[in-house]
Amino acid sequence: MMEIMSFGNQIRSGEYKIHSTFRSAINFISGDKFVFVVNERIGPGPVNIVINGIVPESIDSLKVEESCLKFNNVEYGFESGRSYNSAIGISEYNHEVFVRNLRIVEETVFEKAPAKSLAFLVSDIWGQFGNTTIPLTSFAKGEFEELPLSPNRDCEENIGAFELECRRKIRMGAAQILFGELISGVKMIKGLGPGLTPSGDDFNSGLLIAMNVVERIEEMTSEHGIPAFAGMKGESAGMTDEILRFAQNDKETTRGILESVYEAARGKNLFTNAFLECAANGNVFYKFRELIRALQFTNVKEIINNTELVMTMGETSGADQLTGFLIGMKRFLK
Amino acid sequence: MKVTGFVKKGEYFDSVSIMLIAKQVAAIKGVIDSSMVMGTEENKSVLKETGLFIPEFAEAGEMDLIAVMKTEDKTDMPALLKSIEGLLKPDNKSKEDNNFNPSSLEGAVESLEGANLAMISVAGRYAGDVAMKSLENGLNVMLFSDNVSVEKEIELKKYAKEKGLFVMGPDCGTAIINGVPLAFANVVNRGNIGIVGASGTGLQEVSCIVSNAGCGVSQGIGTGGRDVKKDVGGIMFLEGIKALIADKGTEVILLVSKPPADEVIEKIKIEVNETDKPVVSVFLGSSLELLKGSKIHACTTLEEAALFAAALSSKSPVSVVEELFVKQESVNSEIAYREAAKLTAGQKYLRGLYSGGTFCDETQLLCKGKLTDVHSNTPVGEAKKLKDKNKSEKNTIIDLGDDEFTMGKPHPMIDYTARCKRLIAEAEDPETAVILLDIVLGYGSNMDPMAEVIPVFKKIKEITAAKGTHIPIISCVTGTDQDPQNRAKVVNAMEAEGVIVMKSNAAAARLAILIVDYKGKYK
Repeated sequence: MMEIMSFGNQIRSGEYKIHSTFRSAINFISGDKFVFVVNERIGPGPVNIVINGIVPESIDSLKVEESCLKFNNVEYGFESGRSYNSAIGISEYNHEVFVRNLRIVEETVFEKAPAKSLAFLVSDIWGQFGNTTIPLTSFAKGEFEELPLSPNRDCEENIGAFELECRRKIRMGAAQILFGELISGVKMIKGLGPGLTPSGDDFNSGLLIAMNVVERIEEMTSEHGIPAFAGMKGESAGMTDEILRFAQNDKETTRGILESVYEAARGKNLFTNAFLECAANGNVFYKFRELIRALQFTNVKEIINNTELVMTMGETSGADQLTGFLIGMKRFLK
Repeated sequence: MKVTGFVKKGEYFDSVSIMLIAKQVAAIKGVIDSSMVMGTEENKSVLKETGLFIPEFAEAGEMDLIAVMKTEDKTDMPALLKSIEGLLKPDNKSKEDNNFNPSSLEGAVESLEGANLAMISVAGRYAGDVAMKSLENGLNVMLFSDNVSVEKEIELKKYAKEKGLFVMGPDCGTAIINGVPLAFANVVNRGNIGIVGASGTGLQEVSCIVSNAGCGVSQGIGTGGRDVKKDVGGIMFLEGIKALIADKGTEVILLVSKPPADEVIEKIKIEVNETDKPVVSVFLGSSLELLKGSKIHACTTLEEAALFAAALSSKSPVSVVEELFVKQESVNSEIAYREAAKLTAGQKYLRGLYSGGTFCDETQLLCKGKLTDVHSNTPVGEAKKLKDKNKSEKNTIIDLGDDEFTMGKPHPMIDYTARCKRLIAEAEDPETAVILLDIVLGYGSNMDPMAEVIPVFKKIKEITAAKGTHIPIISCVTGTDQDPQNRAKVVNAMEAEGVIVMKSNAAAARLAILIVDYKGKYK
């Protein structure tokens, strides 16, 4: 008997038809809404239904109702304990701990990301969290291409012309995000690179997750009167207005910029759009949610383990998303 | 050069499949450059900028897959496109999809009448519960997954023991049950030597040496490395011994492990007193003193243990093994002298690049008293921890299969990429005197390892020729001629490239150490 292990809280009611079938997933679609039926290895996500064992080929229809879902017209009840809450949560915030933990994530991604991922963008050269080694303002526009790649990425010699050019563009886009031209950088990166969800799109969804995390921190710290963005104004010379606004505890403006980034990142790839929508709304896969939870505490092993778990998503998707997340955090969390 | 390609509409491939197929396409003869990407406007734009765009791609939508290849002029295009189309066929994408995929353990049991063993490979946090469910369904368990808590392991093993079942694992990578190789295992002769192994590569090595010596294996029971530690107390290792004592097909018992806890050794000694069957052990790194007074014939290397078991199995005098080692030492000495003479003054150090963790340990232990300044990412004995796992220091022996190298990547027994790069790096280091490596064959391992390493051996020759130097490359090949890769074929291919292939890791390590030793003494 098939067992439902978890279902995402962003799954909407409706009649879904099969869009595509992968080894570990059946993808259902209704309009532009996806539901992914996956096995435990993939795990819970905002619109994932996790079943035990191997995803059976025999499932060919899915109907989601208020209180149950039906596979091939066989009803499965929702047990409340199995609903997966995909919302990013920040319950504790200690700036120093958080920044230290982000450095651990950065080091782990740098060390262990797949060679073909965008982790080449993760580098101390671009400035560590809270300890920028190069003044941001020293980079005039047009110098982005001169920014050094992080060393020790071992696939440079094996990549083809297409990937090399993608990397160049993505590097420029990331530099624009870091140094002020947020929307322009997102647009430059979107849709670029290999993968069903192109690497650039995974990067952008990581960026959106970072913006949501910063937004949650801002909400949390302003409730407690802790200045999460202390010194932001003083350090922000050279940044464009949109980032300044994002950092100035103005909730409506913050959300507005986030929405603009989301709109800029969207394309016509339905998979990409589904993931971007979740990220823009602060809904993430279980593996990423656990990493964000771990970032709030001091267990180093847990941070490393969860970072590594995120990197098991797709071929390079997890690592690409983490790269976008780190660059987003580097830009917005000061 | 020509650019060709096609657009695949209405079919979807997950990223892992796309990357895998892209790698296969890149390896096709005549393909100079290739990409398989979704048809986003941005990707199409990059294809144009890089001269990889053809008019057909204009129609590709963002959900369509574009396959593009730049090829040599003489390439047979129709044949190339046909072979790539073949790679993209759904059957090729996921062959197992045609098989029955039971959605529950109960369904799997029902679908295969008589099944009595569940092989479990799921994420660690689920693996313990799946294993318990399997035991409750009356199944023995091979738990390939790791990251199962020690508490859960103990619970599973105690429960299994009560029910008369086995739990092999967690983190059990090798077993041979009733002649069937499970997970990373080799096709070995069936015979009368029963093995209990708390080390996967160790079990592979001894079973292959036994088989290559003309003997065979009755059962190869894996336990997972943690079983013999203090917390678990050897629950399954001891059950394995009991099973082999009771097994009519087993006449010689061979025990393989990294150092068990002292109290576990005591229990093993008591357990084997219950049988008249000869017992041979190799507990790598354990003091032989601990086994004094027991009936166990204690050995220091995997090869020695396997050959002693083989001698006992074929009723040959064990002195045959001793004679063999004396002969081997004399041959090694000659080779070592010859190779050491070719080294330059600056070539001083051994560089061991292993995919098998047990081999890495064994070599470090063999260095004791012979080489100083031994470093490793997984140090044992007198070796020191490497400061940077990516950079060798003096004599360096590395386990490339250790978690710190493999996270997010296939194991180096499957994917040789990391090791090939490191081989080149070591060859470029002017201080490298000898390169030592292992090639592990069998199910689970890379099916064509020579396609990976032969180009690297050639490259090393180019590097050394350009510098006017020579670096001996010494290797063991763990496997049998019945393995899908065929050991003899692999050995021939390596020897044709000048690699010195030894019959075991211990023999290869001894030779490598001797060359470095001679170099230090006589030059």
